[in-house]
Amino acid sequence: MPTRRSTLTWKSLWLGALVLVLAAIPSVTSASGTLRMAIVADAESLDPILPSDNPSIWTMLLVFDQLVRSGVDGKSIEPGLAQKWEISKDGKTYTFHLRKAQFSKGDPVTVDDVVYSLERARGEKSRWASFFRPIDSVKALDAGTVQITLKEAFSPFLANLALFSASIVPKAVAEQAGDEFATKPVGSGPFMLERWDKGSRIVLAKNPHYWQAGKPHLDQVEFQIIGEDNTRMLKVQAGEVDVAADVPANMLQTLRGQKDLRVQIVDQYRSDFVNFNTTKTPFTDKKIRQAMNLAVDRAALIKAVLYGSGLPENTYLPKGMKYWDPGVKAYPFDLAQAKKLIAESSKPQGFPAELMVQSGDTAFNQVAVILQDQWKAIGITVKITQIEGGAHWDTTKKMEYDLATQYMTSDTIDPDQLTGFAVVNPGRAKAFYTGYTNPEVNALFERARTTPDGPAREAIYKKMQAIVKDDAPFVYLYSIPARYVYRAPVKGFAVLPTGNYRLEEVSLTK
Amino acid sequence: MIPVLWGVTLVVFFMVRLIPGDPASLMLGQRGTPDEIARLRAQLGLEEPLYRQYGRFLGGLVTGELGRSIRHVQPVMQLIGERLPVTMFLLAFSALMAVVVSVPLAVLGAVRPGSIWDQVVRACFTLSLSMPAFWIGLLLLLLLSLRFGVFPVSGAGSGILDRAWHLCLPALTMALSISAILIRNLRGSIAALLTADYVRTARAKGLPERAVLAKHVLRNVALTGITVLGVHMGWLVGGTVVVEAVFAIPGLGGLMVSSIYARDYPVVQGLALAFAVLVILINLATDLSYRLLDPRVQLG
Repeated sequence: MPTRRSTLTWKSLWLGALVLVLAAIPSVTSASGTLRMAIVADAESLDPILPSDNPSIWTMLLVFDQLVRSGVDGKSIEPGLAQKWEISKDGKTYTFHLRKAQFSKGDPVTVDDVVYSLERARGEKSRWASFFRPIDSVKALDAGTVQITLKEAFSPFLANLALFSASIVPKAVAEQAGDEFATKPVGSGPFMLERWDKGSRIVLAKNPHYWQAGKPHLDQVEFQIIGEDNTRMLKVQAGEVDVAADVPANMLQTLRGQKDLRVQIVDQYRSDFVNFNTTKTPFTDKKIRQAMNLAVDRAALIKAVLYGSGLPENTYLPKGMKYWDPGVKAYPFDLAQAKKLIAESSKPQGFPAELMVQSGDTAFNQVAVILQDQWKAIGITVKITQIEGGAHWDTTKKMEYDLATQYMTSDTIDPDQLTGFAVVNPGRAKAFYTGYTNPEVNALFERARTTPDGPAREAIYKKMQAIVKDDAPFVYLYSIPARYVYRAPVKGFAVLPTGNYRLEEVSLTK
Repeated sequence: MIPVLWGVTLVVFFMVRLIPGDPASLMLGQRGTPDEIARLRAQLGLEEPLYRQYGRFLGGLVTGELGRSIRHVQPVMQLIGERLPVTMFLLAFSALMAVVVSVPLAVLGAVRPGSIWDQVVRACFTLSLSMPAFWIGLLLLLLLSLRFGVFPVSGAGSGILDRAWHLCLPALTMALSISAILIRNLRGSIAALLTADYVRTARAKGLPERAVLAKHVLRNVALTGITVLGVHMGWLVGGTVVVEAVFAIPGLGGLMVSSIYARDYPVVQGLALAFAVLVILINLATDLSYRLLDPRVQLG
């Protein structure tokens, strides 16, 4: 029979232990001036010329500056480290006048650093060299001026200079660090890398020498890497982070309902399709491709998969991008016309097809099921095959598929990159591995590259978009906006259409 | 042990390369042109014939070198070393919690079979057995992190106490997933032992019930209990993959998943070996603990 004294002793021991544990629990509120942001994946490398993943890119854009950068509207080019610039009449010579700026360690940004960085960006080690292939030479004219000469006029060039891969790095530091630069980057951007716990978090501190006076307002930014959607949303709901990226569409309602949270939905440069393998019958038949587009009820797709947050896609270019043509009408949902086209096509009885979907992608899986149902109405029986992301991409590149869900995003604000990738063949990617080839489109693409920005170039792009819409090498799906959620005290947080965010503008109110 | 480990390297090496998808192509993403991809592959040594790549890998193993990660350009050993402590802590904590949860409940069920408590416990844990760990984890997060704010949502913390606090829910999730089997097993063993002759003798001698349980029954049940726990701990090593994803814990499980997706062959190979070694060590520990518990057991 336990004595009262021994019970009391046990109880007080437990109580004591509990008190100790509770006392050791650190506070979850942040130090003032630290923005905690939950992101989806870790950066792979912070050396501008290497990585291709978004977390790396968006982090580098906070640590480095480029000569120019894209405006907040995602369409224009605004000054970066270059205060102003001139372009020669023949479009081959660009002269940049640098502003006074310093790297985070205090050393000034010199014209030698600029020349070095650009040569590095187009050099052997750079995985982005192709974007700088038009460059013939990079020269320092004087201590504050750098001149770039191109082999021939190339309109997308300024946009390419705004790419993170053209970031200006300190020559001495980069040369000495070698491979280590990827984990110990030094730049002149608003923030500098303080700490990187791989797989767990990235901590940036304010760059005390940043050239924009008074910015950033924050002392520190802490990116917490939380891949699991639900967990990430729980973090912001619980107040453990201030901002959470990539809100799943089905959580919009819940989050909007929480008084201390704000949801931000912005256009992003992303296009979603179901690609046709146009080299395989019956997808060689344009009538079938058009019919399959007409049989899709995009409004229903958007409602079911995006919970209403999205718009039907009308062309291959993302909504809002420079030269995106709102005048091209999206394929309407017209079952009658679709059936008519099928009847006139090479397979009037319908046919079976296989739709390849990335297994980990919830939205695409839902889209696949809906499309399977919608295409039944025109006699097409679709078998859905789920396949892991990497294998899906591999199979796509080998063109061993019938139909495949795909999306593309743009690294630059110029439509040249996406056009060259998605609709030009022969080209970089066999028209997004659809095998689609239209000599007129190819010719227009080449012409657009040498036509300076303006109404003439816009007209070329309008024509391309109209042709590609009609040729329908893909099923056009929808424009997905980027979805972020943040807590009320966060002010000034805005995501650009290129996906990155200018955290130097953000402040935390009490 | 060596043949097992060698077998693991062989299977993993070739299996991971059989999966379609190429690390260079995945790294460069959509913008990689065929020549850029070919160049990167050559740079990474992926163009060499397979047997030579395998040979190099084995050769490296002998000197304790696991190669460099394709994605991170860091030595694999370093990557694993950074994350091993977290996963080990999680595994140990989960095992501890499994024992803390299972033993009292098993005793309760064995001592009062058929009672309302016994039935409730059995029902609850059968339920937890059929719920995926993912789901249990999320429910715990919703309840204890969001609703009541008792535990943090994610991360592994730093410092022993902070880490324990962060890993409470993940450990509980893992513990719950194996507790059902542990409880059932223990309960059965205890119930059987309670009718053993020496137990009746002890009772006849006037030993209080609590002492009977503690000194005689539990000691003898510990053997089977440890066996079951040992087997399931091996299973738990694989379970870290799911739990680390749900709770955003920077451990080996999360690294394994992301490396497979990226086809980061050296890391996948290194991790498979690490996991194999862990499981072997757990089995070894189980065997050794027999000896401690029951001096009659001969090892070897």
